[in-house]
Amino acid sequence: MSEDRALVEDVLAGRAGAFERLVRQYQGLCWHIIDRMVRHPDDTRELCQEAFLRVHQCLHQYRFESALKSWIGQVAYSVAKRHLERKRIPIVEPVAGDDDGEVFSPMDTVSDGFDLEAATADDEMAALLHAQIEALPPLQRTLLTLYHLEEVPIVEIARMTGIAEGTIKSHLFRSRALLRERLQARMGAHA
Amino acid sequence: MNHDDRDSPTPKGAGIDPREWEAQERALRAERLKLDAGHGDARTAQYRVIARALRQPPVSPMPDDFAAQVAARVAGAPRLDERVEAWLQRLLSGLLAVVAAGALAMYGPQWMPAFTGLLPDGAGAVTGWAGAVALCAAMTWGLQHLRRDDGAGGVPG
Repeated sequence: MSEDRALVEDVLAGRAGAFERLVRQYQGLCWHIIDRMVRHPDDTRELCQEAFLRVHQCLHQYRFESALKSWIGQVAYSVAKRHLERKRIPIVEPVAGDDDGEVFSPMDTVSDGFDLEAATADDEMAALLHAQIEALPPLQRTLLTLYHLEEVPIVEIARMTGIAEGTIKSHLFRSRALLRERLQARMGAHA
Repeated sequence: MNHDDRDSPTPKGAGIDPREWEAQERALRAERLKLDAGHGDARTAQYRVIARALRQPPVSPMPDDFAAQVAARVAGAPRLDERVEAWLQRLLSGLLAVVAAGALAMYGPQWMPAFTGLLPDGAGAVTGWAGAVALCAAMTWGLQHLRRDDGAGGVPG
């Protein structure tokens, strides 16, 4: 947090290279959030720049109440979300079982003897998984990326996105279970 | 940012199977810690394949000089308070011009005889030319001002 404070103060004081340092530090997070949301390289670049311009304009409003990473992630998420809303692209799709309280579990189809090394070495399987990740709705893709790739805790993801922790967990659970179902179907097809 | 068990206790309700959630979280931790492939059961192993795929960054490449590009763009863009100041200045200038024009329209006929009385004979033509020059100067100044303000804009949002 003290590093955040020093960096923010440097940027606000207009010290040479400070803002570029800030961008360099958080560009990966910003890029991953926006890219997962919009899935378009040109839009990602433009929106990522827009997010950092907004960070620069509004940095004086940052009160150090959360980590700078969360604050910047929040800006990136809102920029991408607004872009999708303008294009009328839904960021989340209803999932079966949401309303009736049905417990979603692919546990019944577990088979023993799964070979992890063989599975990860299978290029086709990896390609299939990536395609399935890409096919998820924007919000689910983004939540998975924040949680798995960026290692952002759920409480911080909730701050970034404004979504309740329970809802985030539900999305994470269902998305991962769905991916596992698809993985199993693929393995079944191979067997 | 560190992640530990406190961040993701097994959620209750919301249609989530606690055992399945635990398997997902075990797989996530195993991938982060790069534990041996033999660690955990078959279910966890399947989730590890998924966790591994999820830890790979998206495919769109980020330009190498992205940070420098953004910093250069920011250097050419005014801050929010500067933009507010510019807009306020423009608004007040416009207001002043409107008030001045109104005052001239209302009280001009009363003032003109006093001014023309001060001028020597044949001053009517001189006044006309002086007015035209003043108008041209005002228009040039106004256009330059507007162009400068437009060039300074360009920050999205």
